[in-house]
Amino acid sequence: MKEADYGLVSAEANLLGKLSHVVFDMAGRSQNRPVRFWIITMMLVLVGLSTLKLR
Amino acid sequence: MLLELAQWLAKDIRAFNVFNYITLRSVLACLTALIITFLIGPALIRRLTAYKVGQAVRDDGPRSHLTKAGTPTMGGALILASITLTVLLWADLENRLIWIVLWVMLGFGAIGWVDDYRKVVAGNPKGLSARAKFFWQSVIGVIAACYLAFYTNLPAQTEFIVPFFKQVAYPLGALGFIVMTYFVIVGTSNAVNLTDGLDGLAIMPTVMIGSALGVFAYVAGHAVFAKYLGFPYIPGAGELTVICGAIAGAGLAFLWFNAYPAEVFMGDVGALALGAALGAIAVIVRQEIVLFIMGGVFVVETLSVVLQVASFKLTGRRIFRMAPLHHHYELKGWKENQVVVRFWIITMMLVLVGLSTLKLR
Repeated sequence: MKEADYGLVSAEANLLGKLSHVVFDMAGRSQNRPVRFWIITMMLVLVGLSTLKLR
Repeated sequence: MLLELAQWLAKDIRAFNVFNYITLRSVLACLTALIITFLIGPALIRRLTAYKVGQAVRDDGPRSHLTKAGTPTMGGALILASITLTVLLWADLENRLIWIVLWVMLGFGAIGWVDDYRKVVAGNPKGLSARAKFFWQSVIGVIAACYLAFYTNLPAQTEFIVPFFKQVAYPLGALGFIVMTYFVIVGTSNAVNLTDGLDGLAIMPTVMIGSALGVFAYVAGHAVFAKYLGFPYIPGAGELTVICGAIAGAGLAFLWFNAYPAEVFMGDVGALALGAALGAIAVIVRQEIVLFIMGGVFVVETLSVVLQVASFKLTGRRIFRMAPLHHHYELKGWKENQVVVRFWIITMMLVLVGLSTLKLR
């Protein structure tokens, strides 16, 4: 992401109460870690799928 | 262990009977392995960093990889510990198939451990010699193959199943089965090891293929589903779903630390062990060809090395800019992240094709 774009996203994030991925970006986490958000989604999908049986 | 505890408690409180369900224990195994890896991971990475157990980067590899030098390796030990502990907690320990897979996984893990230890701790860049590594892999593979061959109850357990064809199954006989099992276990182990060259490249396909094999194990171990889908019924194979759940959970949590830019590498201790475990599970549930399809990325990576070496020795020319294949694409200008995620996407599609053989036959 270009620096100018980053500033724009930061401003938008402030307006929106900061999107979580932007918060992590601004906290210095690598921008290359969307994988961690994917892992969280996979775990949530697993929990969702478990409702097929757990009832 | 928890299954036995639940069965004992179920004598007084019937609600504990729910733990008899393999599906529930598989989900719990996945979550348990995930939590164990998340909890131990940061401490292990700090410890490995403190002990300077850093990866040595091949000096003839892409230049962009030089920045990876010193990243802690041998993180695969974390995966193996997590899977083993989880399986001991949630699986039926009277099931011998569970012990075979554990034997293969930990045996190959020990080989990888010695190799990694010699490379990064003892400072011997060659590690375990290729001959010694292959010898010990063969010993473990053959022992597992012989055990499976001579302790089968049904002919279907040693038949060679061809996917997409309901009626096509070739009886291998004891010797054929042993040879097939040996090649699948050793081949898969080394294929995963060759693929483990970029951040997260090997672990995510392992998670996907492990999860898919869990579905096959569940079907093969369930008499009704196996009959309905035209699969051979393999008593006890359903319990392997618990191991597959543990592999998926531990693998996903490891990916948290192994995703680009990696904080830790799994090393040979992880790659050899996970590959061997996938091979062993595929052999037990009689899905070698399906493993070959789903592990297409592993297969192509291995073939790229074989072709590169053969071509260079025979003609003096290289087919790829660099082998294994992921380095070829890096040198073509793809970013590391792009190579990794694109190989994941290909694996997802191949796993889907593999899963389709459940119904399309």
